[in-house]
Amino acid sequence: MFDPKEKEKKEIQKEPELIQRISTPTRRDFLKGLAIGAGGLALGSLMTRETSEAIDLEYFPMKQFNAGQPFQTGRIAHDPRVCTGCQTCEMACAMANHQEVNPSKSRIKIYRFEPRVHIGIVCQQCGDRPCINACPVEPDAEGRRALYESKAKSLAVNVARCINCGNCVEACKSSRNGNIYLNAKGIPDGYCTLCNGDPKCIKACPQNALANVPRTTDGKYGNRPAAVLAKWSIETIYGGPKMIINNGIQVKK
Amino acid sequence: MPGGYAGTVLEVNLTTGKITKKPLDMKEAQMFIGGRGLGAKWLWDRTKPGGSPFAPDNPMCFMSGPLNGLPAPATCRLNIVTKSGSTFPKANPKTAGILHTSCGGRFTPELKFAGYDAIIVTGASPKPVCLVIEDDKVEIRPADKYWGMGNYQLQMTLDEDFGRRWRSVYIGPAGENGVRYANVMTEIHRACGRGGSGAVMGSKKLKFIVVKGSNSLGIENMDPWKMANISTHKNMISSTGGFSWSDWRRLGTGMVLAGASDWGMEACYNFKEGTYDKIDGMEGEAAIRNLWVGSDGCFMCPISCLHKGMVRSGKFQGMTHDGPEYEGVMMGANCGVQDMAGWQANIAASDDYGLCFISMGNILGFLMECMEKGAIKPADLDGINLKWGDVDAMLAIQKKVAYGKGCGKLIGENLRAMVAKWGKGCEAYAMECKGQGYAAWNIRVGDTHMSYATASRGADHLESGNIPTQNLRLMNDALGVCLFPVISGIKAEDLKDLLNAATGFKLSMEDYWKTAERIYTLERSFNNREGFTRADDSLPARAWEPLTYGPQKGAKLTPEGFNKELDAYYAARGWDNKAVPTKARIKELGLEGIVG
Repeated sequence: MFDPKEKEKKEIQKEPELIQRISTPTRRDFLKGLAIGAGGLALGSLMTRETSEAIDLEYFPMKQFNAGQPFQTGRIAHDPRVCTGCQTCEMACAMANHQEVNPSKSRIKIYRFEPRVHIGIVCQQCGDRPCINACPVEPDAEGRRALYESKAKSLAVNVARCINCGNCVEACKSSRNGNIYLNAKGIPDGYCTLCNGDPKCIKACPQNALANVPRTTDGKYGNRPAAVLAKWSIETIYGGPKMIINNGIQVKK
Repeated sequence: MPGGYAGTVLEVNLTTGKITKKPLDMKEAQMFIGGRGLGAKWLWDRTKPGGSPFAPDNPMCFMSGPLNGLPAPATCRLNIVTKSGSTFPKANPKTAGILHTSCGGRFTPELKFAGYDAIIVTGASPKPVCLVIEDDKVEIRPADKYWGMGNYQLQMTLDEDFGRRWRSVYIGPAGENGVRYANVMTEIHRACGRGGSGAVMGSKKLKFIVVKGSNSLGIENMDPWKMANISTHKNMISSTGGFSWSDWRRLGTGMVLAGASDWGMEACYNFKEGTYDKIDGMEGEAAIRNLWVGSDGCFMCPISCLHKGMVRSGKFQGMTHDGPEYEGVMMGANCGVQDMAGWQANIAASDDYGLCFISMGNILGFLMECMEKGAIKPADLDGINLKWGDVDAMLAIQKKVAYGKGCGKLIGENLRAMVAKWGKGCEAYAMECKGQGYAAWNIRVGDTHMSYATASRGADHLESGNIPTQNLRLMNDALGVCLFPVISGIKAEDLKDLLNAATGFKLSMEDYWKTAERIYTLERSFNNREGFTRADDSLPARAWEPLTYGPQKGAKLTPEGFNKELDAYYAARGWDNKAVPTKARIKELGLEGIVG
């Protein structure tokens, strides 16, 4: 007898190394996971899709999937004109990159401003790499500092060589959108990995608010702090910052 | 700890300042799930009948459900369960019925990421306070700086003081001043409406709760979770019937602003009519072209049904707000309003004050009809001659209500108090059940009257008039998921499968529906214990008045017909015809030892 679930079961079983259970981590697991995660990131450029343990939210049928397509480089561009702030991208990122149901671990973060607009902040893979250039660690034979550009042309960290100085964090915060931070182990975290060439956030977004944009335009031009992006968007959408108090009368903020 | 749940309940006593963390009782969670269901159990256990909703011992439960925060559609809802500020039995106006009220946004997922399934707030603080939660750090702090702020200013101040990744729920001036239909809100526009939860929170001098979390949640079985999620999305997106996926995304509930009027089901002129003679321009197709600049959605929602608008011309030029959504009709057609911008100005005012605009619009329509029919005079409204459609007069009254000034003090109570003060001439115009005003779905066409009459929280448009749908929606409220993707096409089987996959429970569909019946019967038992009887499941006299305009002209209900429907309803629920659950039914639902 035809069982429509049969086809879906087969599709799921095709995906290798599927995580069977996500547990709420104990404190011990949490820290262990951090070590694994950080090490995983260092190896990120060497891992292929087949061996990664990503958990995908890839079932949004409106999207064209990229299975079988070549490696995607570029940067994740966010469109505040259509973003509704649902954070589905954050969940997809956290699950793919950290195997956790935990938006605080996401590398794309959505910030709500008033009048209502949602600004997505994610590493824009700036062509001039102020973060890498700020890394004081000497380049190795392949020209890689502790922070370097992976094969997917995203950032990557060599955990063994990183000296936890935070220069990269400061460079991003002072001149770009500040998405990099030092995690509990003192290792740079939060930058976009492009999911090793198969970005998950784009597939998960129900509003088509995210796009993988090739490097025609250098990401640094869009890589502004959230407050600046919000100011631009609010001016265009609403004519400037306003607040309603006292029976709907406009008051300049 | 199984997946889904965070595993800890936070208890905060505002009288003593004591903060306790208790493990979630999983036996209880399996029986009552979470959200509205588990809240009902806790309210039953922790209250004695007869107490005021504004007494310090009324517990206020901020509930999540096991699906909140998980990667499935719209796992976003907060359910507040407490004693109602709006409902009371005819036999005893001093007590209250059970209230469950929900809103969307991002608060409850964050609460779970912080590590808590629920917050139970008891007692009352002598001074304004707030609750600040960051993972395991929980503090009661002074809130003097914030007390008195309207919700717009409050949300923007919280964004600055705490940060944009913190999520908050709060009350506005209406809740501070004990307006009996004040609400609890989040993100300025999203409300736990009906029932006066804002007044309960205000009686505790609790201005806001703000939370940030960095923990993860568990999913017990990923294979069945993925399959259930695929089915969930397919069912939601492929729906093509009324209330379809594409309708929701495009117009939100505004899709039925014109539809309800065409069907004779819209609240017009204080429920006198079901079809609005001035509907043109006061509905979704006008709004999408002349008002809306974009959409906004709750946590994990693929629909994103909130539409943000901006008024571009006229007296209210520059005003930004969300809506219209369907229940906004209470401030629109129900008050004879013809001006979209003025309509939105009143919605924005309600949201800023923290007033339930359903209740407020119901009362404004009542006042307008009383004024028209001469049952009240302008002097009763501090000199305001409140005519149909007068948006400025509506704004003026809302302000008085929010701050308890002049006539606003009385109007901020409820319809029965106004009828008692102004006389029987007003009684025919009061559209309420159990003290709570009717919402934007009119009666006399369809089965909305059964929803209003039988709902545990008083006149409730969301309950629905038939038992299978009531049970379906109750389970949504217990799980913490939004109703709208379910109306769009998600099946109860999908939700049951998601629940089982996340938590490791092994519920069959029979178990699922039995859980709903159990919670429903517990809610009814709570109200019975407070003194509600069948006499409180009543309809206003307008139910017998025929509609006089539109395609459903002539439609009306009859007392005999209604009584027969009530008899059938109680029997189907397993209650006697006095609306008391039978002993057999209590045993069948596993409620012996809890109820009776």
